[in-house]
Amino acid sequence: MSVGAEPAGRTGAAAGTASLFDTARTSGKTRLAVQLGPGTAWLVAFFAIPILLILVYSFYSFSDGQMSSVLTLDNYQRALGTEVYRTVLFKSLRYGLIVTIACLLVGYPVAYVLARAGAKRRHLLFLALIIPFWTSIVVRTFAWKIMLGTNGLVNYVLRDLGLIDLPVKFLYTEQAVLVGLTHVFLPFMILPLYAVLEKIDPSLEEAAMDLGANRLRTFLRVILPLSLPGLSTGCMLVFILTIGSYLTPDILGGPSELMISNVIRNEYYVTFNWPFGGALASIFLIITLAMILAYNRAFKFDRMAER
Amino acid sequence: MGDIDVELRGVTKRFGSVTAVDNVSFHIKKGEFFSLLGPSGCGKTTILRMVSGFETPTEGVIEIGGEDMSRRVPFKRPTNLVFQHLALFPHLTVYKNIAFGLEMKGFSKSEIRKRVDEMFDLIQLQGYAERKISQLSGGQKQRIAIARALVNHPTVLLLDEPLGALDLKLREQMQLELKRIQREVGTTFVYVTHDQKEAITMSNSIAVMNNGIVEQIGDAGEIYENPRTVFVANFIGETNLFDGTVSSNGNGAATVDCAGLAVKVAANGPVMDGQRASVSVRPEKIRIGAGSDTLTNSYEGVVEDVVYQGSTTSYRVRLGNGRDVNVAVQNTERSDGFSPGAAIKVGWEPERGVLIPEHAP
Repeated sequence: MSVGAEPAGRTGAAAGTASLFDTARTSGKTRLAVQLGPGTAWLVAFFAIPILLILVYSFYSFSDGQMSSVLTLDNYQRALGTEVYRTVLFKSLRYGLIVTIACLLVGYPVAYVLARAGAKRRHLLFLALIIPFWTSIVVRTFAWKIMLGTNGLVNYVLRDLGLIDLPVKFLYTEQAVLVGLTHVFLPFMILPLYAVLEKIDPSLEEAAMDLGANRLRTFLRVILPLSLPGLSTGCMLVFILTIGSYLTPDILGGPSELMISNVIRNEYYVTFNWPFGGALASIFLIITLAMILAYNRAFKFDRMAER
Repeated sequence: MGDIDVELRGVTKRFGSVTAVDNVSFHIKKGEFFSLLGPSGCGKTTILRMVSGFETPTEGVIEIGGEDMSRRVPFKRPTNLVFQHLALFPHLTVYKNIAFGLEMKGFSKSEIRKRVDEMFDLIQLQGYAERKISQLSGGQKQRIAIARALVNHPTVLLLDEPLGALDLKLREQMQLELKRIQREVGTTFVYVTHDQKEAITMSNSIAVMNNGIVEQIGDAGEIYENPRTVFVANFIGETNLFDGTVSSNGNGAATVDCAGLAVKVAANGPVMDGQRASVSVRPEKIRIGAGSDTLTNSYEGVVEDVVYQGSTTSYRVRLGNGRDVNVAVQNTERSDGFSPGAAIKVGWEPERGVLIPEHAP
């Protein structure tokens, strides 16, 4: 998917259509171009170029509601130098961490039960996991609003049980956002975990127990190490999706619970300060990439893939 | 009871409406190589899993070393299991695999090293400690699996068809290897197999199982020479079975009338005239051609089929009443034998056959 391969891909795509049905004579290079060409073109047009534009705009200056191509570092200075933006950035990363841990704690047992369930039960459980995906994330997040609202289901039940007198303010709090995010991204933890757990031979657990390991030690010494590839994939997915999430904090968090994506969006569409929004987006992108690199190194992805 | 390691008393295991093991009782002596032999689905693996604690008996008691195991979880039992597909830990080195059980029991590092090294000597795989499991051959994995279990000094080592996945040559080699290891460590081995040849070569004692019950227990010779049920006679080696009714008996001998063929046979137990019974005669105990006409059971027949098998030649002979018998002849001398269509005589003495009275249903 490298950008450098793109020119070859584009010319290849044109030449390739003629010989597309003549597979026997299609050379390896042409075939590769035909296969990679459309995807590469798409990515370049709709991903690489926009990202580059954001990067370029982030060095433009902005005054009196006007963007000009005078290059400056002011946007970066303001983004990194202002307390509010730093706070929002760190909050997004902190949310990412909390939601990842919450998804891991909730998702691991679910993935394990799924992996060890009989075929019939597994289908049912999978359906329960997948069906929410069929509805829009907006609808699912609004459902939480109904659950957590002042007159929502949770308050109603608590009051009925006599545990509270006045409704508790759940909505528009940090907790509401975290609960919502955990719910939305849980499947991204469960599915990769399930994929590895399902491949672990149950007789390995029996072997560990036969050799004197109780359930906890069987888990720590055998199941957990063998599930690490799926675990790290799941954590990475949930973390990245969380820190970049926009909709859930918008709906459940309200104006006081903004995450970085909400702030960037406001710069673009409320104050129309594209250069500053671009600077925020670029800083966020670089931090995320750096974290992924560090994470990959820590987990030694390559070595685990070898196993 | 001091010399008995494992005892099953009235053990039954039901899975839903299926009875996998039906009221089984037997005991295994200390240091014995004991085989549970039977076709797949006969309940032998279920017994092994009950002894190791992965299944609980529906009824009955299992004792190991004189202690009731009913309420013992697998990780607290003095048994170790060699799994059918070995179940070695793929994320650990060979050394860590073998050391696993000792680490779980909290042995010191130096004690673990000492004992694991002993195991490497025993299985003759010195220098493989830091290998990964995926770098081993089938036979090496086999030996590591046995070492991983034996290093814990279990009272009983349970083996669930561990040689099933190996090719024939390696399998035979590993059989000898297992036998040697068992002689050296002196641990009681309980070996599950469906391969009668394997059971005969390796075991001191064999329990032949079928449909959840133990058909017969005895040493290899006894089970081969003196099968007590038709199933055992058929399952262990090859045999000729003559089904019929007892027409006369007395003085330790009986005659079974088998579709017009009177077969004389030695009778050790009580039989009654008119009782249904079978006579089992092994192919190698039947004489063919010269000298067979003077034997007590002597019949005329025609050679139907000849199969040369190297050390033996196998003949299928059709007797006068239309019955086929299989005869195996040692090729001690190079001879042309008999050709299909040849009219010959076959025969055997009464004590070469085994009388199996039909059990009252």
